[in-house]
Amino acid sequence: MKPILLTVTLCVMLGPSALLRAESPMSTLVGRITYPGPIESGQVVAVTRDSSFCGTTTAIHTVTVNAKTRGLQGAVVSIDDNTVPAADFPRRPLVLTNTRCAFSPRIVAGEVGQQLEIRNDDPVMHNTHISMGPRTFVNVAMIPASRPVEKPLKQPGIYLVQCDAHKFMRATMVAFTHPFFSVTDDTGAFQIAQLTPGEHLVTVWHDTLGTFQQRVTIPARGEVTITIEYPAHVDANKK
Amino acid sequence: MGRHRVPVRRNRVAIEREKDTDLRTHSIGATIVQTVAGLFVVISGTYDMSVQTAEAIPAFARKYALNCTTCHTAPPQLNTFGERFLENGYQLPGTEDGGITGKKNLGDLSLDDFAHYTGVRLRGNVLRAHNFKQQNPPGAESGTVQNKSELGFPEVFSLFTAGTLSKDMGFFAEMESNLEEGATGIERAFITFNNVGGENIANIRIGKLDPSAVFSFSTLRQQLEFIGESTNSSTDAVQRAGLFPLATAAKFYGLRDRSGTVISPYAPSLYNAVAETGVEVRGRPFGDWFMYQVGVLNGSNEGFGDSNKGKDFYGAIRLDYARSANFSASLSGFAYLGNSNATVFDGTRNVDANWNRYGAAAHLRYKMLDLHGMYTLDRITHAPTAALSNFDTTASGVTVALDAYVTNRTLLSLRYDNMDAGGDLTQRTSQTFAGMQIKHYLRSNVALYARHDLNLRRAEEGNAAARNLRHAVFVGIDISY
Amino acid sequence: MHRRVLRYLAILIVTGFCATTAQALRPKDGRDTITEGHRIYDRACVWCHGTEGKGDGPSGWSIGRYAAPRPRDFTAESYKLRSTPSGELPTDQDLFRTITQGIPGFMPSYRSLNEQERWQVIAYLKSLNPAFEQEQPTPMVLPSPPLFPSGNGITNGRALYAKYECRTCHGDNGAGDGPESKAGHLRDAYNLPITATDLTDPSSFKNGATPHDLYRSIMTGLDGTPMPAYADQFAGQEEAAWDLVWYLQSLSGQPGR
Repeated sequence: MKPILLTVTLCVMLGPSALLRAESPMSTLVGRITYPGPIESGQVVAVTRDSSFCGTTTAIHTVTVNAKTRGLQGAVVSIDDNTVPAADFPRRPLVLTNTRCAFSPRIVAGEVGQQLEIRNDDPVMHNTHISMGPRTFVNVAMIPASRPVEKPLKQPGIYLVQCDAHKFMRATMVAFTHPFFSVTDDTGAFQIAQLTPGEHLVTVWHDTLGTFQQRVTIPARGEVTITIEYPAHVDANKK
Repeated sequence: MGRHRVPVRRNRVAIEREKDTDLRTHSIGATIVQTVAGLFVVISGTYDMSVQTAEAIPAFARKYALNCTTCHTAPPQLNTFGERFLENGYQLPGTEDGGITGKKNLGDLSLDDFAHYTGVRLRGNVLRAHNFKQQNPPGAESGTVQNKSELGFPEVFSLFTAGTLSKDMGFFAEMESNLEEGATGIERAFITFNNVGGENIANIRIGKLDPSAVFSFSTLRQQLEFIGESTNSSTDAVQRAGLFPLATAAKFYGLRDRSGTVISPYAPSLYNAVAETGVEVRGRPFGDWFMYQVGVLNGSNEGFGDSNKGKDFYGAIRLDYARSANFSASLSGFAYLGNSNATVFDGTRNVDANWNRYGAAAHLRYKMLDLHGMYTLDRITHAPTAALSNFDTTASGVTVALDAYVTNRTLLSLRYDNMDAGGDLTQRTSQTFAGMQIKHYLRSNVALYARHDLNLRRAEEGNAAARNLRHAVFVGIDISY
Repeated sequence: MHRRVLRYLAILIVTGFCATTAQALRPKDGRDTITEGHRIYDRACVWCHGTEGKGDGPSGWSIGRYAAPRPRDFTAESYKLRSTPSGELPTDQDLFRTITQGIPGFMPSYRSLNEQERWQVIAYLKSLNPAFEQEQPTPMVLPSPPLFPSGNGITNGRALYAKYECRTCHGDNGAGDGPESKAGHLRDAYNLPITATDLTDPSSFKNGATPHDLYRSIMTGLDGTPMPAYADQFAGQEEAAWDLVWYLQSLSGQPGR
């Protein structure tokens, strides 16, 4: 009698997630997003402030493609229909750094509840102004050598990151209500773990190229590797 | 606003004669026009750079610490908020704030407090140029009808004092010095009792008031200032056409007031008068969508010592819609019933007649656009048949105006005016003008403007003043503080 | 002893009375309060803020025209005038302060609405944005100004003005003519051009001009504008922020402290 009771109690305490995790086979999606379009050299804009440090011009790359792999950097890949409940917190803070008069990384993705940590490595002042539509998420002054500013992500969605002092500085932050997302690296590669087997809808979003979706079948256990080509016709406004 | 008073027209001519000696020839005039216009461009350009960030808090806005554009689309034109503020007796809409600063003892008053109740407006044409088809036509006084440019500033200086004496009790007084008309005096002055019988049930005005203040088309809120006509001092004939919102004008030639003085066909009158003495009540008892207005006046050009046998009555209704994004609209109609408020010459003497007016107006505002227009129909009734053989008893007028901010500081105004004149058949001439004005705000309370008026009937026959004036150019300044 | 007891009793009664009066003036949140607030809003606020509270009333456009500010969009937008950290909603007290004091140049003081009416309007405004139900805005610790500035208050403040690059927008002399402002680079949340506040003209300070107001503006920033929050930069050395406040006051000719 006693062991049964203990098991039931344990199950209740651990909750369905633990049970699911224990029972379901988990798979990982590994892939690459490629872009068939031309490789841009970047738009050169004049720097009007702090030119002694930031330089007199800067190149703004809206679409960065790896010449060797054709991989698209900075695309956000996510799977919203995965049934596994999210892992428990705390996760590591998401770091956004003002460095060499640019945001690094230029695309950050995080999960609601996760801490965003804003840093300034530059010897000049920045202000990191993050907003979603007309709603400000945070707008903080970042003087040189200041300590990092932390704030938890509250709302899912796409945030615009700007520096009002240096207009050419731009980044994008994407927040999800789950951890099944990944930002492609400089080769266009991404990886999403803890996926249940079956068909999933993969959403690919890029801040200039827009959104498109593709169905992917995930096998039981193991790793599946795919390459997804960004369709050239994607409407950039469909974010 | 370049007010129009009939009795002072002789002074005006005298002033023009004096001015006339300065600048006669067209070529010099043209040079002056170019020089002044160029100077204005330079001033507005350089000033713009230096005060790009400065925003003033002028005039009455001081009391509530607000910019002009809280109440005005572009002064003097009101926006919807400004209209409701006016209707509520200079109190914030939906409140009975009594002026918000509260009552003060005399010992506590400071200059700032005084400034909360007073404002000044200084405006006029630095330069005005009239261009005629026929120079010095027969019957015109020497020098009044010929191509010329004049310098002159300021033409009109107004001192306003207005506000609330206490909750729901307000006052307004405007003193005006008008160089063009050679007159100084109280233009309008009245007291108001507001929200009598409940919120917006009845708002009462008593005094020398402008009946059209709350109409969809307000006489005193035109971007294109009144440019007075010139009349012959001995024959009373119009020598140079006036440039007015003609729907507000008297529109009759040869009509006289009860003292026998000829009423100018250009004089804003009756419901659209600048100021008449009387009492009115208005309100919105059923909500914001509907307004009523009823009033009684001594009569046209009747101040104190009313010689009238009866009073004049007017009534108006106004329908409002202000529930869509950045949009508001209103439609208004009025009837003004005169009672022996004018006289007609029957060959031997001036005989009483009733001068009535009916009008409809619409006002639309959407973002940077402000479109308003009015049609009026005037009828003379109860006039002796002997006087009517040579007298048209019907006249009508149309004014349509469009104001638009083309930049944050530049206001473009267009106006169309038409008068189908009535009255003495030997004199009466209909008139159609189109005006265009660019007004540039150096600060929110200092503006420079350039204006051009064009006679749309100049190709028509006849050398009457309304045909002879081909076009006119004005460059001026408008300052409120 | 007896007198002492009486005095305490008197204080207790007066305090209790004040508390109940204050309580009575603030109506309970609920449908009735919101409905009444809506009625007042439709008479007083709708002209600029619009029928649906989107800041698009019939007179809203003419206020800023092609530039900021436009009337507040109560349905989604951030609030500039807060005592809460950057990105947070304002507290009820913040909304009450703004309605009561108005915003110089742009919104009149509505202290002519009685206290209860102002709370009713606040209840209605909050009902327009679902975020008010999900978030609990918590004010920052905003201490009272010290009685006396430190010996070098204004000098230190000037140094902070330089260090924190206030001049970038507000200009070397605080006249709102810094290089970014002059170049027209400053934009609000709707990408409308916005100019930096002229710090020499306290009557134009949207968030108030008392030392406490200035401290609050510096710490919280003005969301929806380029003005950032400096709370994190001053963390642990808040007293230094008062030096900046004294310096700002010295720019405007207000009595220095």
